[in-house]
Amino acid sequence: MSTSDVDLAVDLGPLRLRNPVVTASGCFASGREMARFFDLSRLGAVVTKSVTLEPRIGLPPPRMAETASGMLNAIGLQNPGVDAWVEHDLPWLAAQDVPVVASIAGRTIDEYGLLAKRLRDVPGIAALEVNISCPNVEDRGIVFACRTGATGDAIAAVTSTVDLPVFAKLTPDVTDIAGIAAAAVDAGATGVSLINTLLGMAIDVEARRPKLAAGTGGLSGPAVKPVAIRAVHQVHRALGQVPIIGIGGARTAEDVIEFVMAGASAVAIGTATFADPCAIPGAVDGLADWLAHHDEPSLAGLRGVVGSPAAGARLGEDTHEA
Amino acid sequence: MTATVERDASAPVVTTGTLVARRPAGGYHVLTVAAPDVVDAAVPGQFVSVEVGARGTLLRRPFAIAGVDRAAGLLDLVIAVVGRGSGWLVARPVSTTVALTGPLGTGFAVPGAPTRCLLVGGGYGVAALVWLAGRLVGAGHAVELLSGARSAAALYPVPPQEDALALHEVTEDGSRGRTGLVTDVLVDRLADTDDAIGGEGGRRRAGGRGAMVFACGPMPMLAAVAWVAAARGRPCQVAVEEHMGCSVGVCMTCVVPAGRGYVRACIDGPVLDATRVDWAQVEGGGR
Repeated sequence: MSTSDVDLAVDLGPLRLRNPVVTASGCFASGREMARFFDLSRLGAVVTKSVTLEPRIGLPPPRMAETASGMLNAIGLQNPGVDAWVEHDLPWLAAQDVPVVASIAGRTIDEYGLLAKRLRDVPGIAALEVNISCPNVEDRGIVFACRTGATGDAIAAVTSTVDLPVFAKLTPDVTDIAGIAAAAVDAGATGVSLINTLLGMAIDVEARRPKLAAGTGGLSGPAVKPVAIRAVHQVHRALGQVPIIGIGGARTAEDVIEFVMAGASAVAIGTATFADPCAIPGAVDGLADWLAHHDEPSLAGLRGVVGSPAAGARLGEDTHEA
Repeated sequence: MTATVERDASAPVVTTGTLVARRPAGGYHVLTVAAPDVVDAAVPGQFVSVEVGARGTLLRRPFAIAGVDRAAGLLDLVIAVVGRGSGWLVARPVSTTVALTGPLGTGFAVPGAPTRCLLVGGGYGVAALVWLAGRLVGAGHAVELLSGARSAAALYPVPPQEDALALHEVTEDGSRGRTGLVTDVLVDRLADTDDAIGGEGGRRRAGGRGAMVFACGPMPMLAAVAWVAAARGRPCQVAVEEHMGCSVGVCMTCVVPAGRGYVRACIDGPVLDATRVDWAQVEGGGR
């Protein structure tokens, strides 16, 4: 089979993407920066950096620490605010022949509703990703995605306001992510985005202080991929055909395939872009090669094909049921 | 893996280069890399990010471009070993292929009319200024290079230059050159408004136009240089140094306080007008 015979298109709820590879929120700035390196129409979709109601200057540096096969970040949602984003960044992005998934983040349930209202009639937005799981907030109590009730309230504030597809971005730092995902879907979410970064910390032992000015930060990169694969697998098994954007440590075409086999409909690449600006087009090219080489006509046909663990190795299933 | 894109000649490229030579330079390492598509548009102050293979590392490392040979498609990087990434890179044998992206960021803006230029560098930050100095001298400007470090061992060894470049070396411990801080020399040179460069009736006489300051080095030094320049009303450009994540403007790691928020060192800088930076908010930069 040749690469021209394979079909990379996937359905993400009502959205049809030309390929499953999208940007991870917070890893693509305005889009112009990366357009210096490749044509954005090569992407399945652009998921934008989270915007908030008001501009945020973000946290003080140092904001990043490289860790073993990963990195911690504590940016603090630096963004120009939703109004400036709609005025200055979205029009350019919307003209790039790529679906735009707008990420929004609020401090309160009301703010999610207000953000949804602000974006409701703005042209050029294909879907919303509702970031209810940013770990870099002062009060862990307002990480909505840590509780089913708050998850449902935040998502309902958005889904009751817009007709756009809505994806709830969730954190793996919970006991039962499938339960949180179910709460999001019950509140009207089209699908879920799994996973946000894991809350982590690194210490400079010479200086005897945290490497990040904020103390803690979000862990991303290859180090978290198994956690993300597990989360996608659990939620896919629990919720069946609910669309899932798989996120966490993907870099190569094989990583994308792994996420799809776990149950992802689309796969975001984030931290890998920091390491190689052309990671995403590289993975897209590699996907066609992989499918052709394996005589698989369609990527979508691979979704969730991973079977049950081999007999005698059912531990993951048992812990989920416990 | 490079993507085929239409681009303007000054845009950075994701490419590979070949290590063609390496040599020690004082306490630093000079790597010469063949990367013709990066070299074409590069100007002093810009940098490249280089993939490193050290175990467990993830991110590319940014290095200022210390000079180019356009005809041969070569660029020089001056590297101080500060961690696993830089340690891995300086240990690569000649002919190693390295993945790199560049040229990145903004370079120094060069004056149009003949100008007295004071270039102030700390440690290996001087390397990029040597390249800038060569360009400024070639364009007919009067150039002085002020090179400082804690000690002789940390001083960047400036290669022999044509006479038109005046070199002032200064160390904190007095182990080479004048004893003190490089900003002490800057204060003196700015006070010398009669323009001593060029000699009697020299053609490089440009003092009447006032001096411009260009600086590259650690942030506390840049803060001090910016303060001295501002106190004397002299324009000043600084190449800021911040830890970087992506090096291409998307991760928001390498931010520098400016105005009411932050600017990114990797794409808004590294060369910034010194008056843009809120030095009081820079660690070690408050006075």
